Amino acid sequence: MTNSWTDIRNTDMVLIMGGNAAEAHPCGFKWVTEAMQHRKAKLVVVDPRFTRSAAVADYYAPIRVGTDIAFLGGVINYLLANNKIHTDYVKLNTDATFLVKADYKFDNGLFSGYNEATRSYNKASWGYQLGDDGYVKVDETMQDPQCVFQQMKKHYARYTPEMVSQITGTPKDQFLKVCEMIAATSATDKVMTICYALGWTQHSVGSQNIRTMAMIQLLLGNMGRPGGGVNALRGHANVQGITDMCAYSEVLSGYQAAPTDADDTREKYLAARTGKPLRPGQMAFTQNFPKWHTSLMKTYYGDKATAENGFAYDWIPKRDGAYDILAIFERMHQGKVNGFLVQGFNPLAAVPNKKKLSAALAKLKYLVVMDPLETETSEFWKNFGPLNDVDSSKIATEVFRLPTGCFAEETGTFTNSSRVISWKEKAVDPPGEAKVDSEIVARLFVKIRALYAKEGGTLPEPIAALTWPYLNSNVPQPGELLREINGRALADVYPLPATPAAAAAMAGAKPATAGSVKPVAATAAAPAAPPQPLVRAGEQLPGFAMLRDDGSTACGNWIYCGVWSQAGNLSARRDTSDPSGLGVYQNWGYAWPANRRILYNRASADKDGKPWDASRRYLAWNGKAWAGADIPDMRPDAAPEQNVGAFIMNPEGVARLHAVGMNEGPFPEHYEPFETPLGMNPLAPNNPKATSNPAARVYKGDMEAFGKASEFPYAATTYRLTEHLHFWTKHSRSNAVTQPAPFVEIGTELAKEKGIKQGDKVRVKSNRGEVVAACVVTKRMKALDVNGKKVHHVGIPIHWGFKGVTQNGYLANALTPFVGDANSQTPEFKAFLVNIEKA
Amino acid sequence: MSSLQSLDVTARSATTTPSPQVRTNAPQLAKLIDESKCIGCKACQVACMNWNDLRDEVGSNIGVYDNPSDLTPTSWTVMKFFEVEPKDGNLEWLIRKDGCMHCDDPGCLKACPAPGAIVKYSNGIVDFISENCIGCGYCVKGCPFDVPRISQKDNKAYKCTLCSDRVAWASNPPA
Repeated sequence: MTNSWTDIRNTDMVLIMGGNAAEAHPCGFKWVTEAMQHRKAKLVVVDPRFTRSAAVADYYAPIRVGTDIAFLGGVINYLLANNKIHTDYVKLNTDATFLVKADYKFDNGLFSGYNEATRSYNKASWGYQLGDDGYVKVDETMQDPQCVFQQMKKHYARYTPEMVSQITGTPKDQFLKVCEMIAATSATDKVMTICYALGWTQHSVGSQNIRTMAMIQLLLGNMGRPGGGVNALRGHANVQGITDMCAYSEVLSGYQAAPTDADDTREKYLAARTGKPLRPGQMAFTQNFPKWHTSLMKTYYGDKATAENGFAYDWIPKRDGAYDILAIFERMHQGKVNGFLVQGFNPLAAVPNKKKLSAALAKLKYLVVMDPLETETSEFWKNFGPLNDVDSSKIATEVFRLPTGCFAEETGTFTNSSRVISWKEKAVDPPGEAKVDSEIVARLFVKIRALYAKEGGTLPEPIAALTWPYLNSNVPQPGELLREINGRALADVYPLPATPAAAAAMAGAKPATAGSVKPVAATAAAPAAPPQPLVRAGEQLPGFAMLRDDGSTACGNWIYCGVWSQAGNLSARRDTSDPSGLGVYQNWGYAWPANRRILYNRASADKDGKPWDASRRYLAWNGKAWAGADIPDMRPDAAPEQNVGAFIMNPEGVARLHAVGMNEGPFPEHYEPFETPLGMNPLAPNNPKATSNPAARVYKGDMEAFGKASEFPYAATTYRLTEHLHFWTKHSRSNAVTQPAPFVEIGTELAKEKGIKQGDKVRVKSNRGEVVAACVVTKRMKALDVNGKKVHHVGIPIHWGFKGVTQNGYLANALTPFVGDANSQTPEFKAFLVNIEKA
Repeated sequence: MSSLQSLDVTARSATTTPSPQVRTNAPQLAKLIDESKCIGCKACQVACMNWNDLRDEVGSNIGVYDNPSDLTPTSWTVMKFFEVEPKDGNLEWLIRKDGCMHCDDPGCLKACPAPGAIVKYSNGIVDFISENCIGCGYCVKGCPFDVPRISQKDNKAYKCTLCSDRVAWASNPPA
């Protein structure tokens, strides 16, 4: 979330789209009803199904699965065509005024630079025009046809209400009604929030779904403001925490992109990730990247990471390709993976296309499953009749099950959707021989290290040198781990020498050209007074501003720096005071980064530093500093006239409407799901290359496994129910009682066509597999009129499998397609094709 | 479920013994549900079965969200879902909690022939005192809302207690 759960109560309107907050986040949803009751906020739900959220909404509009960009692109067109944007905000906080390169083009569904053979773009023609001074060229009038604003306007002019309705199946009047309600929040004193979840991420265009919404929130002036933001509702108690720690090989802790084969030196690696201002006076906060990375390396390797050995850069893996979960299973399927350690994860249920997964797991030599429950993955080799029809005698994979504690059986932290890190104590000890995950991993490491010491092996140095500072090396304590993640000073930390750029920015002057002036040593300014250290050697660091790239600091995750400072464990704070009355509980836990509760909060004030809305004063310039309800997301002394942008992580200082970082184009474009009921993209009907995401990775064999509408005519989607959590609670009797057995949902019209009655057993088939379940026939799912064709939906809740105390059922994953988003590789669980018949 | 010293009984099935009248300050209780906020999450069903140490059978899906699909001797609270399409207006998904209404004038109590098997407390709660129940089923017939259920296991009637045990404790906490 850019904002927080408690902030939702400040809003004037809640849009729930790409999620079902009432169903999947019933506790957090109370902040929505709080806003409805106390602020008279409106709740609008856009979803293929009339959901539990829709049941309490002010307005509901249906939409075909996988067409959110068409809908939202249509909203952008509506806002621009009807001048319902917050113009002052847009000019101040976005790249709308920036000029785009002259050879940037979009034609018939494809952007310039497409290479069909590699399914990827050469992005050279995308992005901004730079002047001789190295800064982006701008047109403050936003009239230049090359400016982002005009380019965006042109791009979305095609998304007329008629076209939107034709693609999405949302009746035009209902689409326009939603547009009207959204547009009302472009007023300076009105704010909308959007709550989404996997209904947006689990698509081959998932990242762009969210980006389209971010663009809308920017045009409306709703980012960085109380009651606003783009809010991802996370689906596990600590999935935000695992994302932040980035425990996989593509990203290091704190969202530091991991090195690849191309980054063969530390200098090259750092240079590619260190930002430099693209507009005068901008903070370009990623210019601190070397400090974060060096401090991480000091956490890994301590004294063994030195300036002389490049802080042990050579010891961390340089990946040779993709290592997301689809890529891992693809490699496994090709027989290129020997062993697989699965920790707190049930991939047979949670990764698409069960048939492929099962075949892949059978090619492993060994599989280690760490879990509190008997997962389907750990018994993939066992025959459960039609639910898991495998021949055990043909599977040689050796499976080890290491029982772990569950969340209530271990002390540590949860990081919730609001980015708040909360300490918790265990309620009970793990049962039997179960151990908490950290102990299992530690014991494995200590044994492996001993084996390396005894027997040697390929490159034993990084294993031998790894810092392992725990009192009991087999049992790291949660407090030890969180203190290590926070980081400490290894030597006295002194104030940084002022750079000419920073000094100039302070003075409000144009900075000198980089390189023309050498950095001034701090001591030079006041030679008489020896500087005092900010933090003394051995002390816990108070925040990431203290991190250094000279090896004097260690920090396991720069964004968590401050959570356990000399002041103690701030994640354990439980103070419910809310001095501003805006739901800002500054002393409840610790929110990353820097205990900031709303990101980009400088944007809650106008160019002079005055809050846009006097009734929700969040942050203001008081003549000397930024102050208010929250920790400023801004250099505290950056006077408004210095024009330091609110989006400090971007080198341009503003938010991007035109984003070069995206793999399928700088502006989001509608592409059909890989399994489309239309078989073509109505926005590029004659260009088969642009039917589905042209930049999405599709492995050999998976493209062939996609189904066609002629054989599988119904649009299917998978989802959660409030009675269950993923594949865990089917092991719990109470949950099993409230939703005991698998089912699928269809509308009354389709049921009638197929002769299916309520409660009948039905067989749902995709091109990859089938499930059999009871049928819920409902008025909550209507056939939609899409491109002159009637499209029915089939809804498939995911919670059942062949282990647990519920009725056993088929894993929904028997049906789902093995393709992911072009940026994150999140699988397309939310839009595919099936057929259905009475079983 | 049981007789409680801390709650005065104002009415008792099949008996002429006068009720205690010495206490005068008993607060009246009712459970109100804000239907505009209820999303039918069934957390109340789970809380009910956990507090009362009840676990119903793991049933099956009969084509609806309602599960268990009806009140049973071990499910005293169940959510009922209704899809309604008004003539003028949009679809509504109405969700209602089914369970004992704790009537001011309880039909079950009037119908019950077993002395002291059904009582009404001074705070308004209607409770079944199970050890006195003879399993005749008259309460089922006497209830206008079809709430009590007779257990096949012990041939006794069961229904929501409105957490009479919790309420009694909470309003009279030990010093």
